[in-house]
Amino acid sequence: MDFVYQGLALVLAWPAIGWLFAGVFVGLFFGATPGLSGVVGLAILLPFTYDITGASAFCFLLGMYAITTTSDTLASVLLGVPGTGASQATILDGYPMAMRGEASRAFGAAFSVSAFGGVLGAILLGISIPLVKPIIMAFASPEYVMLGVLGLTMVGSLSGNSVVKGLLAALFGLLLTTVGYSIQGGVARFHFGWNDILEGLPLIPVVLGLFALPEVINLAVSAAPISRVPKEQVKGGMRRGIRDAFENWWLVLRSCAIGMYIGILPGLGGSIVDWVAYGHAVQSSKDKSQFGSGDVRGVIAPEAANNAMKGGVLIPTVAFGIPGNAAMAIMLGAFVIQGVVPGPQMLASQMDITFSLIWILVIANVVGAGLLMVWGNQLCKLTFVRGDLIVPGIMFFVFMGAWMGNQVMSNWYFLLGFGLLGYAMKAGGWPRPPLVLGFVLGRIMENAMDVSYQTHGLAWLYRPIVVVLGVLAVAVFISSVLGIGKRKRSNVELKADIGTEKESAKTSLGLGILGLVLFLYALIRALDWPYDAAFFPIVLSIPGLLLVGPSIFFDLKKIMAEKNEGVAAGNGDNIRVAWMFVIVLGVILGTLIIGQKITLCVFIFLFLVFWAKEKMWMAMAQSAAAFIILELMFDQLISVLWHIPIIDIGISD
Amino acid sequence: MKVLFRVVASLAVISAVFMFSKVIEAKPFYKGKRVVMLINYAPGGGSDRSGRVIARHLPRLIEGNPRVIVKNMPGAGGLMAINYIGEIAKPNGLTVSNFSGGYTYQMLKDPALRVDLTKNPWIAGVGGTSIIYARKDTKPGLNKPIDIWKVTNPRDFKIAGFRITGTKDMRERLTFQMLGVNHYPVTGFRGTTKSRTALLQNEVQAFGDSRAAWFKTIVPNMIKTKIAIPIYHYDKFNADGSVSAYPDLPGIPTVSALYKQKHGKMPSGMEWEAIKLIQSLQGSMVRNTTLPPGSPKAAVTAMRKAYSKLAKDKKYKADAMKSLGFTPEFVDGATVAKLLNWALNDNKKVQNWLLAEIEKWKKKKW
Repeated sequence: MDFVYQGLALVLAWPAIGWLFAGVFVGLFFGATPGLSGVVGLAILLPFTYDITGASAFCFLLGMYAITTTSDTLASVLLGVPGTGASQATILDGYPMAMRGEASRAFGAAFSVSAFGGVLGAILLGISIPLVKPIIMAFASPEYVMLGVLGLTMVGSLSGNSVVKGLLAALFGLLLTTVGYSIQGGVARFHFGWNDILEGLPLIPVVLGLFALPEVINLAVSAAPISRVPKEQVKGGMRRGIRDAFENWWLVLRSCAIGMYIGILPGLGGSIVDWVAYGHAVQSSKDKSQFGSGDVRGVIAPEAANNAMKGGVLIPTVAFGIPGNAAMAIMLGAFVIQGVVPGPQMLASQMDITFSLIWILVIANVVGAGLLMVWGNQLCKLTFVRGDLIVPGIMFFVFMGAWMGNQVMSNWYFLLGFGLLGYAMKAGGWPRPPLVLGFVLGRIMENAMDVSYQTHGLAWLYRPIVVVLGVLAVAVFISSVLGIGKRKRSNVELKADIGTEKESAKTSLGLGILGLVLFLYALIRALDWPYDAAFFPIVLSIPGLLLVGPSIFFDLKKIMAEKNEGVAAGNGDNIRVAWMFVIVLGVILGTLIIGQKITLCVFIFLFLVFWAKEKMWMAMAQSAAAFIILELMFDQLISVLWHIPIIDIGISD
Repeated sequence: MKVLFRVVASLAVISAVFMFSKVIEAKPFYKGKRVVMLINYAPGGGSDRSGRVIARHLPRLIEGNPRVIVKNMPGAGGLMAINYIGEIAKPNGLTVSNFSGGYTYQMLKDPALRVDLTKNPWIAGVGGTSIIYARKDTKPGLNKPIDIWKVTNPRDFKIAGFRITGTKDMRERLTFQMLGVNHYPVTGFRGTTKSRTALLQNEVQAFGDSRAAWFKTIVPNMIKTKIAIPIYHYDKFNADGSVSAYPDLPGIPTVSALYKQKHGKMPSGMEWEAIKLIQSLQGSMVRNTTLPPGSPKAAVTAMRKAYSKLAKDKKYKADAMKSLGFTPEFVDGATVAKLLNWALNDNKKVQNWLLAEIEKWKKKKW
């Protein structure tokens, strides 16, 4: 017990506690800004810790990292844009809550469970370290494959009533992960001579394109505020959300356990945790009808899980020197700089340092959540502002969020391409979450499957944990199917995605035909490759081709029925939607010609003047603010690598 | 008199102009500038750590004291950044690399490499070696390096690797093939973390790591805890053709020493020539620094000077010891350029043999 107090003393001593608060403030910023994240923050802050000793350095870095998955809720709920990779699932219900004027309630629930999840994750870290070694040792590549399969069974829960479309979306998401070098490195698959995708498609631009761009475009086209409910009619604020968190305590505990125990398995990452937690929340609920429309449980589950995960990823890092994720790889560097060697000695002679890390997580989560609860209500006012006024600001952060990572133009091409796809999926009633789930799981599964076969042959299928997980996966799948049948018999509509109420059968048909072409191309192309490169694409293409047939058939049937009923097709909004995509294309072309800084600022000005019909001074002010943010934040602080345009007037340096 | 006055006055003016322009020219190239150090792998790894330690000290050592910031540009096995420096980055001296590898892509004529590395104005290289280690409980039990020959079933001695055409995998396959050890290379591990985890889980029995990881992670977590033992490290290939061990790895045999211990003579043959070729490059430029082709001479000169000072700088060495566990040894840019030209242009027979060998590995059923 002495170590517990010694660890606390290390953190509370000055200047360590000061650095902790500094880290929390920085973390709030990095989490809230789309495209930035804990990893980016750690990479930027690490050099500063050379001159800070011991506990202060850990307080600064870990304090920053601990809070990013709390503040990322801001963008997810308010704007429908994932703040970090770990808050994608929060959008599905968080944003609809904002659309109902319940952003405050969503924040109250999210911040409460984030704090609780972070604290519980830290406590579990403290008591679990001696116990989890057998778990970490037992989960090798075969178990990762089966975890992936178990994760994929969530597709049923994420597909609403469109199970075929959900499965197709998941298969397509899995297929997307085969782009780039094959596992053995010998074949560059589906890369068409484009080096930028040799390592695969980038996650953040894909997710921002799929989710953020369609929502922003809708906001621009409708010009309505995010909240469709006037401010005066909104019921239930932050306190209601906090009450929701307490009322759903059992879901919170289960989600924390999911976050924690997925977190301890190195390499799985935050993106999986929130989807698995969300899927579990849907599966385990008796009343699923509100998921996708603003069910607070759809916010509670992923937010509790992604904070608890922070304690989980520390375990293999501290106990074995094996970083639990990319952020921990950087933390490992920080440990080394401070002369601390992660491994068994941290559990033997350096327990005070180990416990100081736990206390940092506890304090940072509580302080961060508290600060956000104080500020959150002010930020919620954004949801009542006219939509087309805030579109330029959101687009600005979507563009820059997509740019972060390896900072090449292809990120924006993917943003646009997946934006078009995401819009079409939404219009056609194709759920987007299964695509993202497949995309997140695909690389892990193919890689794990390949290594499993090399190391164990087919015997990997008989490992005890693999069998247990396999049985669990089958049980979950059967339960999903039975649940779908029950809902269909009760005529319960389950929304799988934001705003999938209106479906266009023609758009759906178009997607089906696109799917047919892509799966067919993938199959034919894969047949020319060696076994290790061909296996996964073939295994995905065959069921894809089998399922796309019924999807096309049902869409044709629906189109015929609508024709007979004389259902008119609306096209007023479609023209404005098309224009919005042209604007996005214009920003990309402008960047190629004159660079990002000028193009983004000009875009903001022109959009506000000509689209939103706003006053010139307001447009100039926003444009100037954008330039200042680009210069001070992205250029000087984060030191972004700008695209070098054709006409370079020196601003890109 | 008047003529004399005019001549003297003209000379004075000309001298003043000349001196003024010299004052302007004397301003260091990098004064008031910002340099981006590009790293071709993700944050947290060995490339990143070594680059960041360098970036911390460079501003002090470059004339003009520019700001140096680190950017990671991972992708395509390090190629994205290598291509970027070679064909996209402006040749204005403001982007400098701290890359790992890259040369084997040119050696193996990988179409994904779009630039000619011999055209780069090389600044410096940092040499290194890797240490291969294996689980003690590998059947029938490993207590010392020479016990690896006791392994009878290749599947009892699985070695984690990334890609067949990667430097790491090629060296290890060539070495174990040359040594005549029963082994089974498992490729496809996505990085050192997964590989080390797999070794701890006994999914594989051997892996190779850099010196930084060896001292800071492997020794405390696997060697001192008696999970694994070191098997060998790659020889240092000296300019005179001799080989030697790295002095900070006492007790760990080199490849040639291990071979000699078993076979009674120094290694030879095409495997050894290929290992020599690859390790000659790794030994001098496992991390390499260049500016984009066409960069100003003043920038190249200033950078080379800075790296030359860095190699002897006490503060940098202390920092490197703290962060990496060893003090990197630098070679100058001219040596890097010479070595690269030798490797790529004077070893066609070995390169062709290696390409054929890789094709065999791809088809081999283990």
